[in-house]
Amino acid sequence: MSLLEVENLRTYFFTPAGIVQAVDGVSFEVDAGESLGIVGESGAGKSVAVKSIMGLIRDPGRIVEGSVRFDGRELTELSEAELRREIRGNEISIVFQDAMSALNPVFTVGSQLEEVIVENTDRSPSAARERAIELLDDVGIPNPDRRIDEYPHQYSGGMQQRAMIAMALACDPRLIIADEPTTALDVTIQAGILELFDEIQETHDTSIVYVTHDLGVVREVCDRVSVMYLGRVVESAPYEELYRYPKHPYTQSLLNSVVTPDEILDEINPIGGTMPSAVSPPSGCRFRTRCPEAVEECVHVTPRARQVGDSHTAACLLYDESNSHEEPTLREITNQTND
Amino acid sequence: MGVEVIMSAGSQQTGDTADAAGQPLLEVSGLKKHFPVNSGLFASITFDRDADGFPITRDDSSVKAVDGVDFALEAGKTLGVVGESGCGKSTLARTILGLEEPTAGEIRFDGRPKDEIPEAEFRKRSQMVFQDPQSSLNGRRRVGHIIEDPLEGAGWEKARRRERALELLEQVGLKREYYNRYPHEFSGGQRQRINLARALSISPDLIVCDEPVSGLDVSIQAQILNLMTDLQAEYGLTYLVISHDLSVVRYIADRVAVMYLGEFVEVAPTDRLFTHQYHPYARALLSAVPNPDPDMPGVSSQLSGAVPSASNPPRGCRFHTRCPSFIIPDGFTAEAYDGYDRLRSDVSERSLDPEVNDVSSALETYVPELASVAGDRRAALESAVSEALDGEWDRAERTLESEQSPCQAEAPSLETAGDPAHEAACHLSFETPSDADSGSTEDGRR
Repeated sequence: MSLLEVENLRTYFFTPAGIVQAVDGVSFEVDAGESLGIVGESGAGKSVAVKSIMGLIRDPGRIVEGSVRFDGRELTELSEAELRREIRGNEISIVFQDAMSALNPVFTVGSQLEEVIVENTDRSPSAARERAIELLDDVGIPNPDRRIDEYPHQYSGGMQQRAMIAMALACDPRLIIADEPTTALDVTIQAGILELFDEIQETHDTSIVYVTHDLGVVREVCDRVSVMYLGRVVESAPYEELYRYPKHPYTQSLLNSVVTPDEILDEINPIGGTMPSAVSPPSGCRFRTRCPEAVEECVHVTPRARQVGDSHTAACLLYDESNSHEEPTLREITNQTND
Repeated sequence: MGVEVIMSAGSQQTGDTADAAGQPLLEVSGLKKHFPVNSGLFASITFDRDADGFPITRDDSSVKAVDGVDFALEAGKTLGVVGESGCGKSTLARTILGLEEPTAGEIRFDGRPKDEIPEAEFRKRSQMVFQDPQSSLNGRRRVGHIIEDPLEGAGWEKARRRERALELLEQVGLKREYYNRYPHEFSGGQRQRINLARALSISPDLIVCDEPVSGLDVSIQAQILNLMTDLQAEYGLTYLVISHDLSVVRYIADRVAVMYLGEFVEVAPTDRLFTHQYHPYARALLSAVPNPDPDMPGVSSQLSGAVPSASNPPRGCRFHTRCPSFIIPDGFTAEAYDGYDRLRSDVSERSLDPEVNDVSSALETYVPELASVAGDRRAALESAVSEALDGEWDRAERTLESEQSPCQAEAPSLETAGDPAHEAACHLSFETPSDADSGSTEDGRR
């Protein structure tokens, strides 16, 4: 059994403009000590998927179907109070992209860190301070005994993100979810944070779910990767396997669009067009409107994840011989939860 | 203005057409842009009881955002400027276009000093594309009208403007029907296409692009970069591209300048810069970019500490406080030199460690590794400490100064490195670029 099992998760947002099918039938697993990258362009539903795990979806959003099992326990059935008491912080913690807005500007970094420790462990306030200094030291903040009493604005962007990671580590969670934690940082600062994630995984044996749009970052941090497109996982594989043998046409074109400083390409071949709206996504395969391989069948059949290699799956009719399954309609899904 | 300038600018040029290739369209020399930390007379005055004489001092410190930049950009070519946030690259772009008044230096456009070019002509021949397509397009106006703006400024009549805008929409990969739509109806990539159409409308020679694709998804980034290259080929455009993203610059630029704290530290043709970096900062920046290819080396974070303040940049080479290849003078070990540095900083602040009471205790406190220091260096340290203890601070400071590393003593200037078109500003010798055996660092460097 994996530590985290997400199965057929659907998270919709019920807006006046229509139902946004942000996450629509997503499944993935994370083993203990493993790091999974979730990669995709903006609007793919990566953030919504990981926030659903933590029960952080707010109105008008709702998990309409599917299950999230953590260590065998069904998280979608827990109440807000149970999630807060038993899961968030001490079992699963999350690091967001924008550290400055996640830290409270009127309290010192130390007091915020100590609060988390006192809340979630049975340490005394003075022991919590000691632990806080230790954590700041662990995440590479210089002179932690002095800097613990500083306010967030006195920290640089990279330091703020390190402080957030210290907070996420405070209660020794078994899973850390990182939602684009380095996107706003300079590459030189990002490099240090990526090394820190590697270190955390090694020394604490923590599982990591790392959300990013950058395949280079996935390569640095993750063992496996799931590629998302418009609310669905289109391909999953160990990172190297995915890079060398991409199967899904979307993954292939994503890899073709990447520019790197290490090679000069005469011409990049990006995917044409833009991602359609998640309010009225294309029927059948959602990538078909931009897919160079699309055939008539793609309009009618929703491809399911098929084994295409060693622990490598892709959801594309190219690899699906028995394509005679039917997806529930939107009406069926939303009615189900309203009952 | 010199006679030769008139000849070169006037002989083959008529009206707005771009110059023949090979001729610099844009030349910048000694360009500086400083922003005062306190603006206005009253904000800059502070009461200072310890001052000699009248107890009021004026704080005239300034943020040196751009501090002495030189380059020449040939017509039809692309110069990419890369650097971390806060290095001054955006200020450089804005100053060149006249959105900021330069503090010092000269900008020449098409062979003439920019000051002598009528504002209307310069506006017509240079355009800017900003980073954030969301906020750089007025949300209440139709995109057709936005694209026509520069034409209206140039006095085009309405029907001709409209015809041109429709044409441009097609050229940047949009549809003529979009003319009457509003910016919010478009995605980020499409909005950047609209920005490009607006910049192109007046057929400028120079387009300055400040982070043209940051914030866009990779596939959209690639589309915009391809569009920019196509437009350049078609209209002979000259680009100055500002970006924090080395991959973007590698794809689009002919020449790349690496900027750090207001200065260019390395400038080279794109192919060369990405294969031979001489400046340690350029090397560190490049090694921090994640590469998806598992066969390529992974990232390494070589830089410690944060970018120093641009209002008080480090003396000597501005990068020396973070440099992984800092040159330690002969006769010092790395540890002993750190001790020397601490002593020097205390001497310049006129206060030694309170536990120090004589020469030997001072040396013990600051440089415990004294035994490893070469004889003449040790003698200099001893005399500096005794001068400081005698209260002769200035002499002590001078004594210490003569022992310092070249990286602190002198700011390196851009010098040719390996190839006539390749320049770097570093005290290291330029014989061993990064792609050579990296294990062969010479003695005396940490």
